[in-house]
Amino acid sequence: MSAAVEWRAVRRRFGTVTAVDEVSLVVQAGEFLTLLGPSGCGKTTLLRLAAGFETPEAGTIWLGGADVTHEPPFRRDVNQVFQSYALFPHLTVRDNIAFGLRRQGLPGAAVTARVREAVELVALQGCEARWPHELSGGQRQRVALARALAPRPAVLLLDEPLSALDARLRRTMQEELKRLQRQVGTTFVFVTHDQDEAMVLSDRIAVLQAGRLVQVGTGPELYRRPATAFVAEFLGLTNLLPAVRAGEGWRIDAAVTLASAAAGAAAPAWISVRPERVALAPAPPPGPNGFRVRVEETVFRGALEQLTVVTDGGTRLLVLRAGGCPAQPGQLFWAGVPPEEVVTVGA
Amino acid sequence: MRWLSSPRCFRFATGSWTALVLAFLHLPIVVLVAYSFNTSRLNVRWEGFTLRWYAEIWSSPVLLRAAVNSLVVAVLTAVISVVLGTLGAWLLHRHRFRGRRWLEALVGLPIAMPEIILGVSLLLLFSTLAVPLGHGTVVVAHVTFCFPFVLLTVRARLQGLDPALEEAALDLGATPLRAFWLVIAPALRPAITAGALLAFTLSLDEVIVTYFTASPGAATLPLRIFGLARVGLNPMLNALSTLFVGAAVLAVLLARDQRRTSSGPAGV
Ligand SMILES: Nc1ncnc2c1ncn2[C@@H]1O[C@H](COP(=O)(O)OP(=O)(O)O)[C@@H](O)[C@H]1O
Ligand SMILES: [Mg+2]
Repeated sequence: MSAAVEWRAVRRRFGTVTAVDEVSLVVQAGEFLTLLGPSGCGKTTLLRLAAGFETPEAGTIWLGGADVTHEPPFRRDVNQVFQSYALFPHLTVRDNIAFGLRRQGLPGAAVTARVREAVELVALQGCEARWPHELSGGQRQRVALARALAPRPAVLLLDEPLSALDARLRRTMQEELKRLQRQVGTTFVFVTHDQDEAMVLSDRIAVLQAGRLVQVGTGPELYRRPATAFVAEFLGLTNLLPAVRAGEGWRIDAAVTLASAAAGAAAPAWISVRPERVALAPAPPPGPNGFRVRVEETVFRGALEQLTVVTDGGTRLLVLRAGGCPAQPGQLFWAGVPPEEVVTVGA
Repeated sequence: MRWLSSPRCFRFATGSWTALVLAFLHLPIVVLVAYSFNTSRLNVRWEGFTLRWYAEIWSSPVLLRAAVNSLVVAVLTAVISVVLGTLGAWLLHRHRFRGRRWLEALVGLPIAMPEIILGVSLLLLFSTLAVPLGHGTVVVAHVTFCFPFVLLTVRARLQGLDPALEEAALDLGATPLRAFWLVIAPALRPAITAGALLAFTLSLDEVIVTYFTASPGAATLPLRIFGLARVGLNPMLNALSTLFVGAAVLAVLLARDQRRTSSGPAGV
């Protein structure tokens, strides 16, 4: 595999705000990589640096092994799907999609063929002669995709392309995006603040926090082995507990000390325990890490039951379990956590 | 008082109010047009239909010359104002530079400035530079107060435009110049057309600035009409004015047509 996009120690400041701070990241060719982080963490700026709409103050941008830091956007082999779609309002769907092809100087017949191909790719047959204002949100989304893909760029950049769609359409488009990426094999760099979406779509996820790259990995890697408390909390629900080293384990409170499979980090630290990894049983569990809890509150969440339980030492824990017979507040249980699910994380 | 708020009464009231306002605005014009076909030399009594006054205009070389002057000046003014105004709007919109705010304030100045001061200052300028008065000086003078209108109209439209449009064009391989030509300019077309028509009509009926900056040979039609009117009212004036009204109505209709077709032009 080779690098399709690379940010090398890139920094970009706006006034006093450092939007991108010493970010180094490589996207492999053919990969679906997602930049994930809360609003304002620098995702859009990273994309714009790759597209050529921003120039870094420090560091370099590489596309397909070439330094493009000072190349203008129209000489970079990347195309972007904009958050606002940015369809040209005075051009039909067909001419919108043909725009990039015509700039490449393709002959008319080739343009027609490639437009048809792109239209089929996003299932927009029959809409070619329509104007952008005559399309629904989902259709505009598809036109924007087709327009960006038609010139066959090496890399497709997508800036929160699904955030304007309603939940149901969003699911459909997520599936389609994934299928599309497999079909065309183009490198996708996708931006979202939705961890669920990132998990569904990506080969790898890069988590950003305040302009800094915090952790890069596959969805399961990030979920199971978050490097920091921020990552642990941003990807899914978790119990983030301050802990101190106590012999071989981590002491949570006066009553509970948990053994962890991870190599002992320097104390003090945080441990992260996913709520669905806490098992509740009427009797003490066989392994280590068994402790008594009392149910404080239960919330019905359809397929799952969400409980808040309290240890004898007064620590509150969130527990998710398959909804069957609902627990009652005040009920007593034995909780058990396998040591490999007790993850130490940095601050 | 219930009847006052009944829908029928309301419709009657608004209807008659509208009719009244329209009559107030347009009755003088109707009268003016009607008397341009009057055989009598006096604008007070209808005596019979004639086209004599139009024929008299046609056979007056001074007036014909003035009409041609007016048209040439207005067309040139509109074209130059559109180019300057659109480019100016684009530069102000795209580039952040020192003194941009000052420049923006200055651009609107010729609009706010009394015409007589504009006229005098331009005359001073031309005589200082020893530029002989003629068509050129009139066009320069007209552009001075017309192009800010184009600039402001286009600027407003630019501010309502999605900045990602230009980026999308660049992203798809268009150079900045092509992006402007293929994406920005079409989006600005209604504003540019409106600005051009505004510049055209403003130039066509301007008197005061023209008075200071035109040589006798370059005198425009309004200037001649002004001269005639000082001598005394005359049905020829009515005929001239009727032609003007006709041109204005035509311009308005054209502008409307432009707006209707601007949503569906051909491909790139
Ligand atoms: N053109 C700009 N001018 C000033 N500040 C900017 C500009 N673009 C981005 N920023 C700032 O940089 C930070 C990161 O922005 P952005 O990359 O858009 O974040 P995200 O896409 O993750 O929401 C934010 O604090 C934002 O306000
Ligand atoms: Mg963003």
